[in-house]
Amino acid sequence: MVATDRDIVSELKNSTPLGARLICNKYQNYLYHVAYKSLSNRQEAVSVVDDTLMQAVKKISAFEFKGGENDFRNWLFTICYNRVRDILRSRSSKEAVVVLSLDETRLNRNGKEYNPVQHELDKTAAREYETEPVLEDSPELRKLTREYLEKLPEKKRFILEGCIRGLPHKEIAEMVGIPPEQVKVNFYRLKLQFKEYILSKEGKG
Amino acid sequence: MREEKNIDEFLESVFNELPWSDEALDILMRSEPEHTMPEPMKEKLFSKLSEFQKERARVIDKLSHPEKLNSFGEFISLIREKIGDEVEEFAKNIGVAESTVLHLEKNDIPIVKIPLVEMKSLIQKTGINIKTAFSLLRNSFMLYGFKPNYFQSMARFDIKKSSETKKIQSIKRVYEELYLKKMKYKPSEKLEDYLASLEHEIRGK
Repeated sequence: MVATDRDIVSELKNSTPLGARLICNKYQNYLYHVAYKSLSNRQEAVSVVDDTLMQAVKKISAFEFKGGENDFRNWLFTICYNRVRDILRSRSSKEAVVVLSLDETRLNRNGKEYNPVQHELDKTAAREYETEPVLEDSPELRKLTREYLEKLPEKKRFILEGCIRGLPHKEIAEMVGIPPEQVKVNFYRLKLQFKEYILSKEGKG
Repeated sequence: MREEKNIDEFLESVFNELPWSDEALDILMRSEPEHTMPEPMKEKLFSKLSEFQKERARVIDKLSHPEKLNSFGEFISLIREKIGDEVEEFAKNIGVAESTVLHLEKNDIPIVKIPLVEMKSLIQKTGINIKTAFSLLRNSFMLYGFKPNYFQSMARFDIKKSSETKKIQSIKRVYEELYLKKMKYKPSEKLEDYLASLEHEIRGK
């Protein structure tokens, strides 16, 4: 039987090793799943779970149930989300400082010389040719997308979130009160609407 | 198809930067997570948390008899450990300077140099009994004055290079020497004046 959050909090506050066991059993796999989905890196996902649970255990004396039974769970996932966000930010700042010299040459695995700048340009061109992106990722586009998501009616936003996060269609259908086969159709339509919205905002529609 | 994949990937990366909604977490917690934490990591994390819980139990036990502690700095350090605060956070919450907490914990400041307002805040916000607090403050004051004696005695017995048995003997002699010096200790008028003003500050207003 899975322990309730109130049991876990009470054991943690009493500083028992059982508290550590209960919080690990109930949450570590879910936190790992969330972190791994966002980071696609095992080591980083493990480190996020480690940091999240350690911080929760350290700060347990400050935690109190205020809003309801989900308070503890939401608190844990917020810690996890903040940690994931920090890693994503540090990644993008690292990517931004890669500097390549135009004259630099390197040796490939076969011992042949190549120019890393030309190599990067070729790779980007090939990627663009293959994927023909309709959306050019940029901070403005992300801001626009977040605004769009905020404006979406709750049920539609949830269908989009659920499908993107890979949740089972049956569960999504139950939650929003539609037949499961309709989830896929709704998801497809929502993506089309989203694309149209973005293109119209960018003046391409 | 490529276009749809592009939108999916873009939306996924946007959602990765957003916290999970309550509804999505409900579904996640009901289903089996797709990615699970590697088993060796689970055990490692559990033993880390468990060790932390045991350590905190020891801290709480020590705090149940604050009068048995060596100094006010030790008391502050244990309180901080119990609530899981770093020095900076703790100082901010109590409303004292970070350096005050650091110096107090290391016993490297004469108590009388700590502003009365800060000391009042430390006593009131940690909830320690005034009588116990004053007794610990006297200890802290004495330990601060004793620090040079302690280092002098330790240096005289050149403990680092001796064998284990010799080290124990030397430490015993250091203790004896310090004890004899302690017997000559006279309560400081400065400290008693400071404590009287502090008592007035705490009880008077």
